Amino acid sequence: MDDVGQQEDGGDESALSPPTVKSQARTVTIDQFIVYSATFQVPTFYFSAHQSDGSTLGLRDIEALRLLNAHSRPNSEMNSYAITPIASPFPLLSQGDHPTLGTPCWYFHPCETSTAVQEILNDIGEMDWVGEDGLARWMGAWFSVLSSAVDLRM
Amino acid sequence: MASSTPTATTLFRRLCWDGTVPIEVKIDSKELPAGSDRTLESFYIRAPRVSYLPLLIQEVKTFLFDLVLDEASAKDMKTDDWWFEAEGGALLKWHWPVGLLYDLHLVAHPAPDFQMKPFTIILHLASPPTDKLLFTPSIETCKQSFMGQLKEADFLRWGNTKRVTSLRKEDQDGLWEGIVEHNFDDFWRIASKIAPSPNPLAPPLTPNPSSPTLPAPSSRPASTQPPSGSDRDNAYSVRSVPVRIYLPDGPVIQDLVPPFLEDGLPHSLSLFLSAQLPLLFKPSPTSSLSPVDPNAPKSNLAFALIQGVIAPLDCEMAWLGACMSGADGWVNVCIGLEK
Repeated sequence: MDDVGQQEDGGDESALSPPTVKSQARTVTIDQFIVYSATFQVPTFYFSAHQSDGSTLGLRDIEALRLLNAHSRPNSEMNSYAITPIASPFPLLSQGDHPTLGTPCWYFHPCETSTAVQEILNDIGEMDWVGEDGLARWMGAWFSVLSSAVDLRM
Repeated sequence: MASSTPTATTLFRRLCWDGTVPIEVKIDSKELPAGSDRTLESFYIRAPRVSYLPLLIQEVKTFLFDLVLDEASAKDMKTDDWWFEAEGGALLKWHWPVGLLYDLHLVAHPAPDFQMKPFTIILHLASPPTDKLLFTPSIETCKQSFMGQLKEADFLRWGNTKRVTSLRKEDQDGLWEGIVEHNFDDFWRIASKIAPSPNPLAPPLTPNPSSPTLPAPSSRPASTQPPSGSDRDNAYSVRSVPVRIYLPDGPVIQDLVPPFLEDGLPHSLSLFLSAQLPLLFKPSPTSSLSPVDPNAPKSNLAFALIQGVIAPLDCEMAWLGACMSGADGWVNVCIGLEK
């Protein structure tokens, strides 16, 4: 990419640019949401990314922002509308309506979330947490799972 | 309804499948190339309720190419930039089934005598609003969205997505092909492997009121094997019926819908709606457990439209899930206000 991408918080990524072309900074806004999935009964991560002129970013542009951690992903294929594991017809990441706002967003499919979180909790070894403490630790494990897929510092 | 036989189930599924809605497609004449016949601005389609707008594009293309555009423009016309808008400016959710779009339009704009007037949509041939439309309506994204809905419905019913994910690839693709070709037999030959069938004579679930999660399905053994094709999955032993409520100009409501309630009674539409929308639907006479809300209406202020039909409120939710759902497995309830 020839542009220098700049995040909302002022940090910028340097990118390669040919010596004769002046690179242009642009601002990308990423709206991030944690929404409860009524179907899967787990929190789900939704986000949308757009430029200052309002145009939305496609997946390849989002990938270039390094928002998504590609290395921790199972072997997958990316096209303009989804990231799908090679081994499965169902995507990891695709577009959907935000459950309360109704606006189009990208979201990580939550069907494996419970399993992934449970693995972390099993590793930690504490199974008896209940009540609010239990829920907070569950959310902690959930954020761990999420941060393996998304760079949460953005 | 309590004594539905498999034949009756097939009948209702056939009725839902064969349902159509009238759509008027108006083409934005500013976007028609020079040399087009501008007197033919509107095009009427009888669209299947279970279909999707991107699938109608082919028919619209034929009309445009045969009747409106001149030869030179027809050759250059690409459908990549086409997008739909409802009359009045609302962006249309083209990944929602056509029947749902129509019913929602009907409850938001009620005709005085409840006639089935054509739903007018505007087709733009260029300049999709990239700030609001995240993706252009392609058949691939539509298919992906459909498969995602099927998977969610599966999960709600059984707590896992094995029925959908363990279908062979040609069966998964076959479901979508059934929608594209609008072929009832092709679609249901595969869908019957994953859809529930109503049998209210099966013993009800043991209610577990203290559990914050859904109870386990009663008749399923704890097995890791996907169910065989000959299993008749009972609509009354699902964990939750896949249902969504659509309010005119409002958010989409989704909540758990167990087939039986804690007191052992079958979960009826009346009980469901008076719990979700207590200010619109009067409390059901059978819900003796909860105290009557003083703000509850004395008679219903609204009605429920399912597959274009005003549903009787004594319908059982499990039965609706088996017989009146869309092709994607979801029962879409559009709420209209009584005059």
